[in-house]
Amino acid sequence: MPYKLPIGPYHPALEEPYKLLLTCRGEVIEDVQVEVGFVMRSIELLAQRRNYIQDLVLVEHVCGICSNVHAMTFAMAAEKIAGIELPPRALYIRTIVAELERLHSHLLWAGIGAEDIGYRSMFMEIYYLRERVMDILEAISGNRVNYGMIALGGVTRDLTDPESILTAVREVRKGVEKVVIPIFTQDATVKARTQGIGVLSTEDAVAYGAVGPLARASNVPDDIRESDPYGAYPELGFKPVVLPGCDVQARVVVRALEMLEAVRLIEEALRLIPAGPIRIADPLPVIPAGEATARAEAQRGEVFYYVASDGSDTPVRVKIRTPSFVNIPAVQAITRGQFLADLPLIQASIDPCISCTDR
Amino acid sequence: MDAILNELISASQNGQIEQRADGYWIEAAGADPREIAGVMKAYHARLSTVTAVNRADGETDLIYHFFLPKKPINVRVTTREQRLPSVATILPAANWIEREIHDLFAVQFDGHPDLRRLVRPPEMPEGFYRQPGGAAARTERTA
Repeated sequence: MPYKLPIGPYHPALEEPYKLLLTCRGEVIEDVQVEVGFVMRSIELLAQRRNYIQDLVLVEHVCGICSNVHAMTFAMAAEKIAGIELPPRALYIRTIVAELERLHSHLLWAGIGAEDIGYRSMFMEIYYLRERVMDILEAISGNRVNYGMIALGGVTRDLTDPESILTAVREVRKGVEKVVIPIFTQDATVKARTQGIGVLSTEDAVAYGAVGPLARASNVPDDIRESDPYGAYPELGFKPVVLPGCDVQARVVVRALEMLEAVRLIEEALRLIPAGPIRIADPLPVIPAGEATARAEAQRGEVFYYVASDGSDTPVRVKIRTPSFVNIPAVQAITRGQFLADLPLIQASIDPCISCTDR
Repeated sequence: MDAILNELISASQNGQIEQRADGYWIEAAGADPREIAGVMKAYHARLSTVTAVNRADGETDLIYHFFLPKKPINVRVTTREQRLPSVATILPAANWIEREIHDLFAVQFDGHPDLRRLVRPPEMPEGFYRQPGGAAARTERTA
């Protein structure tokens, strides 16, 4: 006789409010219904009442972890409408900050994943590395979370101390290579908790429209940095990480390898970064009437923006599609037939963000 | 690439196609989204999302944003009396997208397997996002 088990929306085990309604038979999950909307702030509607400069600040608050990428994608859409070409240095700085953001987010995720497995000391080790990245972001922008780096037509602050960035990211690489990857791939306990658990087949990944590390761990070679390049990525020789494992371990390894790729991209960008202005001369560019879409690869997958302008200082329509909005429904496909005890880790493995989903 | 565009044009009942910096745009106000979804599915395109835009005549423009590597395709369809056929049975990715548009723009998707509200409580009226944006929103607020 199957029974129903509600979890959430407010529950000590959940970092953010959402509701799972599980149908279980004994220890095995038969079906999951996900309910969201508990932290909806109507950011799209608010953005249609504020001017573009205010909107840059507003959309940065969609999510605390992937904040910069929202402001960047919104700016990319507005710049496309106005036909604004960015100075090359600005493209490089945007790319470096985006990769630093990916680095701290993947480290945060790896830490939480380690804690879910019950590996407390590994959590501490990873969060120490993450703190190094946060220090760098604070040194660049003055902020740990909402960096305020994006301006229409460029960035607001220059990079003045590339050496300290290099020192920090190399330290992170060392940590990832010596601690994170060996433990996540070789430790017997971790392998038992991750191998063959939470399988998302390639067909399901495509059908649900899954994006980001979740899709790439299911052998879907889709990375916006390669398939619809932006910023300085075309000049940095970016290579997406795609694995055929489809399980929790593949998702862990994809993110770990992406951290190494992020460090390489930052090193390469700091080597190639040209001198010059960091934003266009006009501090308040006029966005003419028109519409445009923009995509960027956030740490969780494709962020999509649609912006329509009527020529005034306020956009008529701002549509925000976050990666978690498409990845969370895939939980249904992943959890069917899994053990209840594996649910926290399976959920964590897709790196869900409820603030992003609800907006 | 041309094959898929030709198929899309016939599926969208001679939609007008335009190439822009952010991909192809097809204006197909009267098209059936199920036929467009069928073509895109055959080419393994990913449905990024659907943008709903309020129209002055009370209808809603729905822009289906499909993604093929290096070739994003956007198809604009208009609702008929705020109704459109659902594509959720063809593309499961559309399930939540259509639920959200139903919730916030009060569009009915016929044939959707489970058109419950997504983000707003069921007690609240549908169509919370049917409010003006842009210059109109600012005049309304200052008036």
